[in-house]
Amino acid sequence: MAEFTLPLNSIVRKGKYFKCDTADKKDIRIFKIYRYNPDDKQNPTVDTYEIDTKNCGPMILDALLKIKNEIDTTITFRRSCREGICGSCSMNIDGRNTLACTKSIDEIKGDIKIYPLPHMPVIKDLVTDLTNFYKQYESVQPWLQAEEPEDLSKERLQSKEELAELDGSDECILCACCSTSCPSYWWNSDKYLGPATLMQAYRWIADSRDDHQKERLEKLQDTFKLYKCHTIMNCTNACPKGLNPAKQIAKIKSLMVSNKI
Amino acid sequence: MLHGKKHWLYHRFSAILLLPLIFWLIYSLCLVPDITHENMILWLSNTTNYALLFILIVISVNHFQLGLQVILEDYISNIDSRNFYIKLLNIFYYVLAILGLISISIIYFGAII
Repeated sequence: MAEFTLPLNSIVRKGKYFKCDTADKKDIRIFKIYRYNPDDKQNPTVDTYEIDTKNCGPMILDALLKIKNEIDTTITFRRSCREGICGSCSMNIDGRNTLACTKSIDEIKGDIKIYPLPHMPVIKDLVTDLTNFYKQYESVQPWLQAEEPEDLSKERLQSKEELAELDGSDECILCACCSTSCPSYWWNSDKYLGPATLMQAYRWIADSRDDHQKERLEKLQDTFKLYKCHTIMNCTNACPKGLNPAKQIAKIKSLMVSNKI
Repeated sequence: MLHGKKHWLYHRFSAILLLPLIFWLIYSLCLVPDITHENMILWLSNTTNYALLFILIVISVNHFQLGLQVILEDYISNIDSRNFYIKLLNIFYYVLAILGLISISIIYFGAII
């Protein structure tokens, strides 16, 4: 049956408070950050950090780096490009899944609450285990599958219209913000592929150079993989790149019907 | 148990079909001057009303079964328990449909005789 009781370590306790005495009160912003270290065998905590925004960059990631460099070196999070293209710093900020590098501190009123991506196993602090997410991505075979052309010296050309069909899906950076905001994915993340993976599946289904559209669609013909999308649209709401995974999923469903899969 | 696409399509088709039927039911019942037992038997003795109500029961119970199955699939992670409850739901669905159809048929044919 469904689990109505939560494990003991799901109770988040109050953590340490890191005060800033050197800044003006008006420049201070409060950051409340989820902390969890499985090695401690303790419950997770929410630590509070006072940050002097005068001496800090404008983005949430800048504040996290300031904490890591100057206040508390034990805090753990992923980051890489710091310009919204790698998807590493995805986390739940102010109740929404987004990228820490593109979220401005000024956009948030009041205390800034930072948690890991929801409903994912936490490795440490803000770092979640994305193994299942990447396995699902691999399962849709995200590479070109086409017969060998007769003339190997020629390129596989696409018209502008054929290329436009990929707009809105090939910009995905696989940050997992959409999938981890989807309640259907929370309930059945082992069987339902989730918005990010389905959007990638559509990206290859819609590719005019790919010859395996039917096989790709057949692989999604299952009660769970595709049809557990209940059009909740949290994915579209969460995507930090402004994409619309729900629309691409609807397109797959439509292709399922038109291709008589 | 219906497979992915069929389940999804049937659920949507039944929802679309239910819309006009529900509006018809509300409109038709509003036309009955006074909701009494005698008036309702008279209303059901009309062949159009009987036929539409028959279709409404079949589609609404089917829609209900498809919807509940989705909820069971979402919330019950153990496969054996899930299959058991879905089978139980299907039995309940048939019993509900047959009961409803027999009931209105008894009234319709009783009123006609």
